[in-house]
Order: sequence, then structure tokens, then C-alpha cells
Amino acid sequence: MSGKRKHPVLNVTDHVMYSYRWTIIGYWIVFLMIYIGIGILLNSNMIMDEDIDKVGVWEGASVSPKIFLLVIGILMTPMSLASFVSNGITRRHFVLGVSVSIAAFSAIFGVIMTAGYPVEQLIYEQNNWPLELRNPHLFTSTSQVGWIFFEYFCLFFTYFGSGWLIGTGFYRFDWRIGVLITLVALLPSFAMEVLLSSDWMGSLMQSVLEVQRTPLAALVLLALLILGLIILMNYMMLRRVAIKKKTF
Amino acid sequence: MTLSIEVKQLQLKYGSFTALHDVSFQLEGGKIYGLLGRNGSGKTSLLSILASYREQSKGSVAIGGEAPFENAGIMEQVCFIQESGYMNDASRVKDVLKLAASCWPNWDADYASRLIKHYELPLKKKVTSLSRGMKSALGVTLGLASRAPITIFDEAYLGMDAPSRYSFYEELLNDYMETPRTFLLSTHLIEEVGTLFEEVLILDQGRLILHEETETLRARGAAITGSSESVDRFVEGLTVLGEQKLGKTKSVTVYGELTDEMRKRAQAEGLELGPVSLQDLFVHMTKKRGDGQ
Repeated sequence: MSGKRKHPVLNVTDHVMYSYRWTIIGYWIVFLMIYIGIGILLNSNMIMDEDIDKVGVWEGASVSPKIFLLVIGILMTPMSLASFVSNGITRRHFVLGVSVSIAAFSAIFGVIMTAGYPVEQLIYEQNNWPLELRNPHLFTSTSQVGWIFFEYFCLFFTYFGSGWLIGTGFYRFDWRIGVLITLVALLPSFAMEVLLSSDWMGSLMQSVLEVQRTPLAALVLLALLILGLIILMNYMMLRRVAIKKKTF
Repeated sequence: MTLSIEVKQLQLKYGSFTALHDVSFQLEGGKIYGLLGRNGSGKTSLLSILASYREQSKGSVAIGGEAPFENAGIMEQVCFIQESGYMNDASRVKDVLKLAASCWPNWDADYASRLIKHYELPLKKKVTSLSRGMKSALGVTLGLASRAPITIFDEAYLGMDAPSRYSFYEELLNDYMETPRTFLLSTHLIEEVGTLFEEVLILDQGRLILHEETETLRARGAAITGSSESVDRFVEGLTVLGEQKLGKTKSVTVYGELTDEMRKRAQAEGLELGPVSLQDLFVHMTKKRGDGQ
């Protein structure tokens, strides 16, 4: 007989993370290779763009992981729900398990993004390049690792969550409603970008629209509310869904 | 541990189409049940509800006295295996088994290893690259090793070749003797599996038309063999399900219980009476007008 069993929520988390481990590792290897390549090209003066040695390259690096997580999120329900339910896991436990996985993936991605800033700072200092942030962020200096992590964690979670909502929408409904849900599903990511006023969205809001950022305490609460809403919306769509044959 | 199943006035609708009409039955735990029905009769729909894959439109289901849908305590006691399966095609066989081992509370790892060896399952291969027979063998392994108090096989062994299927039937029976639990088998291979069933349920066009012990059901018909003339004379007025002729000998299958008087008459006329096959009875009970006969 099997030994001591994990709680179904942790069991789902474990299996989701195990299933995507090589995809994630492979992605980061390719991602980091590209950035190391850019660094080498900069060092050897093969890239002569004057802007590059004044502003950080790493700052613009978050777009790719956000889109990557969005795609993984789209696959989540169609690829995994049926196999978990067919192993006796409830939809509720599946939603909670996936939520914990998203938090874990977002934390891992957030840590990598956070770690990138001091590394970049070091490289710029060694080359006597002045390093500036191109866009506004929750952090004003690369030493504010807590805020760097929080900003990226929230962004990665919402993009992953938006993808999850899209996949769930197509799984739960027919393609026409799925398309409509896709539009709604992107709102949490958009809302998080607006709330954090970071990166290009922050630049647009603060420089062009002259909108001031929400006070930090309220911002943290609202960010957590958005994350909670993503989980709730997924649960509402999945809680009574009929299990279908594989769609991929 | 065995669990009873009680279904009352169950109805399932897909939009305007009604797949199940007021189906009611009660199954006591620890038996092997056969669920028979033609294509589209509602077998998979009914089993999907029992396994919480979908929720009924009306009526109620109780497993061990509790509603199974989204009930973690019940869902982990009901293992539903289908031929096409719900396994993740991108996963390796060992990962599918790993997931099952972590989910089913009564998972028997030793038994799983024995079945893996028996069916020569390639652990490192991805599910998508398995042959149909291997996928069936994997499904059967999952179902048997889950040791779930209610284990449902919905045509799960259809892809296996004949020797593998017979070995599965043997395995199922041995396992049932060792660790009694409720097996619910849905199949079209009635001749092969029929001997395993203790009770049979027949669904037709979404309605439960029969739920009986197999032996009682078999007694509803008889095979009469003897000289053509005697057989023809004997079956006059009876419902004939089928007939076979070899030279002057004829064998006719009839539907309807034979009275003691009829049995004596058959004996007097030198006719042999035998049991009717489950398949013949099934065909008779589910045939539609215009299907022949």
C-alpha cells in the first residue's frame, strides 16, 4: 500500500511543478544565454547603441517571462484538469494546487529577476557605465530587493493567472465565449500593470497621463486582491465543469 | 472496504438532448456488475456521473450514502478507467503511475509493479507513443492497482489483444477474490466478460430497462437443440432470438422462461435444453424496430 499521503492541494502543486520543471529550466537557460550574449557583445563594443550603456538592459527583460508564463497558464487547465480529476482529485483542490504552483513559479521567476539587477549593476560598475532605470518602478534603486521581488512576483502571477483564465475559458465554454473570456482574462494583468505603475505602463501613467501611484499600503492590498480574484474566477468557472477529453 | 451505490431518478441532459431518463437502481458493495447497452445508450454518461466527471441534471446519486460530486472523501474511492483515458499524453508512463500512486489512498505499489511487468509497460515512453493495446494495459494497471473500493472499467480493455484481455479477466477475478470491492464493467464484449458478472444492468436509449442477477437473467431464455421437426414444434408460439442448423439438427434460442411442463415435454421429445447466452438476450432486449428480426 502507499505510504503517507500528501494533502491533495500539495499533491497537485507537486505534480504541476514536476511536469513543467524541464520547460522552465530550459526556458531560463535560453533566456540567460541570450542576456549573457548581449553582455559579451556590449563588452566587446559590437553594439554601439548609446542608450544601452546608460540604462539597464535587465529592466526590459521581464516581457519575455511574462509572455512565457501566460502561455504556460493557457495550457494549465486543458492539459492537467482531466488527469487530476480522473485520479480522484476534486476541482477545488485542483484550483488551489494550481494557485500554489503559480505562486511558486512566480516566486522563482521573481527571485531570478531580482537577482539580475545587482549582477547588472556590477557589470555596469566594472565598465564605468552609468546605470539608470528607464521606467518608473516600485523600487528606485536596484538595492531595494524586497520591492523588486514584490513587483515582479505580482506581474508574473497575474500574467500566469490571465493565461490560466484563458485556458479555463476555452475548456469550460465553446470557442466563441472562450474568445470573449480571453478579453476579460487579460484585464487582471492590465489592472496589475496599472496598479503597480511600473515599466512602460508606469511611464505612460506618470509622465504622459500624470497619474500618481497609489500609496504603497493600499497598493499591496489591491495587488493581493487582484491575485485572489484570478483564483476565484478560475474556481467559479471550474467548480462544476464536466471533464472533457483532451483538447490538445 | 466496500461502498454501496444508490441512484434515484437520475437525469442527464446535453442541451436539449436527454442522455439519461429517470434512471434508478441500487448496487450493494463487493460485487462485479456488468453495464450493457448499445452505442449511445448512456453508459458512459452514467459512469461519468458516478465518477464525478460530470454532474447530473436531475435526481440523486449516493455512494456510501454521500453525494460524490466534488466530495473529496468519495472521489478518492471511485476509480474510473476508460479506453481512450484521461491520461496526459505528454507524460511518461512512469509519471502517470507516479501521479496515480500519490492520489489513490489504497494504491498497491507491489501489485502495480507486477502488472507493469506482466503487460511489459515501457516506463520511459510517453503515453502518446504507446500503442492502443499498451494504453489499455496502462489503464487496466491503474484501475486494478488503485484498489479503489469502486473500480469502473468503461471498455478500458478494448484495445488489448485477446490473450491480454483474457489475462485481464483472470487478473480481475483473482484480485476480486483477494480484495473484494465493487467492479463495474461496461462492455460490448459480452460473450467474453459475461461470466464475470454477478448482476447485469442494461441501458437502452438512456433508460434502465433491466437490473437483475446474471443467473436470473439467463433463466429468461433457453437454447433448445434437437431434430429440426421437434425443435420447430416445440418453439411454436415462443419468441425466437436466433437459430442455427447443422444437417437435421437445429438449435434455437428462445426468450421467455420455460415452465416445468414445457421442460418435461422437451425431455420427452428428446430435446436438449441449455442456457441462453447473455449476448443473445442483450441483443433481443435492445433491438430496435427495423433492426431485423
